[in-house]
Amino acid sequence: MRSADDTVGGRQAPTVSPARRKWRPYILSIPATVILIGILYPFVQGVGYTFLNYRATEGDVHFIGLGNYLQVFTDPLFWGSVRITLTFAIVATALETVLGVIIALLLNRSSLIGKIFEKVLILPLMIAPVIAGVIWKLMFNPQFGILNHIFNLGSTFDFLSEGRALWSIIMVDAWIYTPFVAILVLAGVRSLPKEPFEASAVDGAGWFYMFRRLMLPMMWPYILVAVIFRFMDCLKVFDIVYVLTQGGPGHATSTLQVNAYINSIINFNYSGGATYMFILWIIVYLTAQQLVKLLGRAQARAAGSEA
Amino acid sequence: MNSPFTEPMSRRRILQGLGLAATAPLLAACVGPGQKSTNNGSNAVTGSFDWQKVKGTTIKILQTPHVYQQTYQPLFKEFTDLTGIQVVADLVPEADYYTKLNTELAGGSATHDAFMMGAYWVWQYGPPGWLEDLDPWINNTAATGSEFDYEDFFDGLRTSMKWDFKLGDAAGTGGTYALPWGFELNNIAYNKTVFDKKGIKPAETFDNLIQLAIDLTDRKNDQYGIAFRGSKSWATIHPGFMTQLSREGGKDYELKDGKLTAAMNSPVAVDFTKKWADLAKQAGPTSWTTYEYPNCTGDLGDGKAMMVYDADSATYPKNVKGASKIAGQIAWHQGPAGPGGSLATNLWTWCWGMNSKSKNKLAAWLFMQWAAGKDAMNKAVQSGAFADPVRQSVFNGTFKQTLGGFPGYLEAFEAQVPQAKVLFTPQTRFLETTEDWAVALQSIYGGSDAKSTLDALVTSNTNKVNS
Amino acid sequence: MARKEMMPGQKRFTAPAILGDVAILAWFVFSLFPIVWMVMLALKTPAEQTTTYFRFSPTLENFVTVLTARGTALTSVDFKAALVSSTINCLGAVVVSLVVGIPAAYAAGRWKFRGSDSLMFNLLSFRFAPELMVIVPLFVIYNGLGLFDTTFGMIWVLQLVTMPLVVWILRSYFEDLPEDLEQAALLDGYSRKRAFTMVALPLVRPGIAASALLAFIFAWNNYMFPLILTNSGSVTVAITKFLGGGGQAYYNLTAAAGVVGALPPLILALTIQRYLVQGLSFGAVKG
Repeated sequence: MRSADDTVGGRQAPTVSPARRKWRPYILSIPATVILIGILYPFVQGVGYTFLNYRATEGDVHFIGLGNYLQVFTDPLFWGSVRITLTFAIVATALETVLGVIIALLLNRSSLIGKIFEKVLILPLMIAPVIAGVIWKLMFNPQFGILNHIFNLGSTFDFLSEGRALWSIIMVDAWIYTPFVAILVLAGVRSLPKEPFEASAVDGAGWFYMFRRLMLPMMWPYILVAVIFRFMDCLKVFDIVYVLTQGGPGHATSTLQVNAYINSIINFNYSGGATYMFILWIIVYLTAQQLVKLLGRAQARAAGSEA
Repeated sequence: MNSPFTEPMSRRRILQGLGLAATAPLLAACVGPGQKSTNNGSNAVTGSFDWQKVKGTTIKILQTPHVYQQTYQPLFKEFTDLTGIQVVADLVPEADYYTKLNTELAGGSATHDAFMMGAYWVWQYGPPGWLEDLDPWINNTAATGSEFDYEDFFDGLRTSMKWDFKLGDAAGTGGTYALPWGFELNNIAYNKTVFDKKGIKPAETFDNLIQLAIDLTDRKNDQYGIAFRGSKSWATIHPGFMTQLSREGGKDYELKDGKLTAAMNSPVAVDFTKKWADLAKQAGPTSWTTYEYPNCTGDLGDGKAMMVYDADSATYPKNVKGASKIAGQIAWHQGPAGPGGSLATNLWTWCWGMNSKSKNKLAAWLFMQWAAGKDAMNKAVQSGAFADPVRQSVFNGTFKQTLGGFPGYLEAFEAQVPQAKVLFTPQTRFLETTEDWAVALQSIYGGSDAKSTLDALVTSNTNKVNS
Repeated sequence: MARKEMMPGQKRFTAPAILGDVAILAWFVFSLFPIVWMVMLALKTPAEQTTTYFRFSPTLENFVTVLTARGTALTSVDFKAALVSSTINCLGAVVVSLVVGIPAAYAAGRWKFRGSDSLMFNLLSFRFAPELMVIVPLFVIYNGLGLFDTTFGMIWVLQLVTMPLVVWILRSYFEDLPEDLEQAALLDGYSRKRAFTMVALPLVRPGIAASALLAFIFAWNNYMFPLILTNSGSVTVAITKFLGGGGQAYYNLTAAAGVVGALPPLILALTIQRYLVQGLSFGAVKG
């Protein structure tokens, strides 16, 4: 534990009792934890549903142990939606991260065009995903949509066909959320210390060398934070998919949360839906754990390269 | 019949629950049998009928945006003048209407006293006891005015509101669980100008309809023959599909030895489903699998779809001046009859349900009674957008008069209404099994083999329905 | 800021520089086109909403309908009330998250105390919970506690959305903060709390701005919680009410509502933009 109250240069800093020093971080964290702890109760209830056969419109609710889990794990539809969810999350996050970092770097050059457009970088984020879904669905429509018109695709090209729907949805997600990544990374890049770069330039290092050896390691923590948030949210994707295709055609875009929604809200099968969602939560939890470990290592490296 | 979580949550219970939560029995809270009709609120209403009986009350109603809802907005003030009851209307977007309503009812809330719902929700909300049985109210002369005249409602509608919750029993017996408000018959609306120019008349058989639609399709000029719903939803099966399937002789379920057997894979049904999917591919909208009914009526109004097989009251507003590109050029036809001349038609009705936990039941009933009453309905129809009123007197009176510029609408309606009812078999898994039906249809559209897809559907649905 | 800053080692007007400009331009065309299209849609009449592309007769009627509820269509959507309540809820949520989250982020970023990593992770994990999983139990609880349709209730539930963002983004900034500055303040006799507010806090302003803005946006755009836990919903819910029903669609009204609904976050973004853009030079601090 770093102790910031030692004497330095012979002068005595105001001291704080060691006990208080030790508890300080915990005390500072208490309010945040308290506020969020409330969600545990409904969450546990939700988990409780997964062990029942609770269908809201039928009585006779009782404990069925792992019955729901058995049913879900042996359902090919479940594995299908796992595959679709993972495909979506990985591709979308990768796309948004790469694009976001590139945009951040380009904007960091402070070129004229960059300065003009930086102000509107955030605009797509201002449109709620639900609304963005509606707008894009209109643009995709083969009969009157603007995209078929501009790109001369005629009235027979369907962006949301069985083969294309998932990719079109990924494109919409990237449209909304790439700015999120770009903003986080840009703010991070802008706060990097100039010293190491100036020193390297003096030593005659080229741009690419400086990027790879200095900038990227220092940027990694910021990039990873963005990746963590995007990947978690992409695993849980619902709004855009549901507005555009309701998980169809057939099951082509049925992500886990879409299936959970259909189960709980439409079919009243709260237990079934909760099972899907709890499994989804576990997937997200485990993946996040790995990503955060990565973040820890990245931060250590970044601190190292700064020194 | 109750959710484990409808107990009122006092702070003490929360702490109790927190302790219990860790050790499992959330079911400790589970209560026994649901409410029976002895709890019916109309038992408490006595004396003579008086609109002002509960003046000063405020009721909350839940609605979704709809032409019906919009035409009634300005009339609420009249209701308040009449009864002294304030109406607070909460509006929920159509796509999520049942998300909200289901959560509210499943959560045991009495926030809204009355709410809009569809006929199929009698089968969802009725069995768990969330809906107040309206028969005692209708028959209670202290609660219902003499001019209410329930017999004035179309037969098919009154029948579709009743079910006794026994699997296998058709709609029509049991309590009345909702009050019809507006309804829709499914038929063909078409672009009259184009038809007249080509000298053609609407098709009288299903095969002719298919041919006609294909002939009218001209993809290069962004025109296609017929629009009908195709999105992944129960709503894709219920309008044109179910109507025509029934006319051709198909059914959703057969009753055998007290069990329901799914019948979507009967030879008639397989043949029909294949033809329907093909029709969508050859003469339907390109993005058919995302098409909901506003898209269908929209394409008709834009002059892109030559025909629409869907609700007549949904295409009706498109013909009003300024509402669409081809306003004034739409005509209606009852659609092709079946091989035996059947004009069986599936109907949909927006109706009013009363929350069985409501604390203001009489006020809610007075509201529902007024909304479905002759006076208010006549006014709504006269405003020009309220199509298909549920009362015969209003239909034959004010509504007929508006149909001057709507060629074929009345003829089609009168030809269809004797055979119009809810064609589905009542069952509590309706939404789930019918959505699966739509998914099967989408698969067949995408190329899967019709027979095997429908066979699989039948196995799954029979299981679900009887479980 | 007037002097053009280069990326270290970069030269002007080379092929890569121009390529960079083209790339950035391409992104912004892709990014802004749907928004421009949406604004155009907001200016179209119902008959023109799906029958015209770029040529149409614009009208401001849709904005009038949305804001005054005086039009004939969908008159019962009180958009102005939704704007007010959403602003209160979302600003409140962000303020609470900042007040409570900054100390937590500081603690976790400054001191790697035992359990800090797992605490941070658990704070983040609340965001993992799919909203749908908790929505029914949450509805029942809120109803029972009397939190249904209350500002307090909404601000509390929105913490699930805003707090993890605030804490995690700020933690990175606090971690990067060199200790020397605070040390100097402490040596000058200031208490740790003063050192924090005088020295550390101003230095992480861009982080605060970025996280506050993003948290506000995510709270503003949240759909499920306001839909279920309030009666009238939020602005985002109100916008979807304009879509219509009964077979009629009013995309033009929805677009107009969407444009108006995007204004509060936009105004917030423009207001705190200068904090976002500010570059810092820690290099000046290091010995």
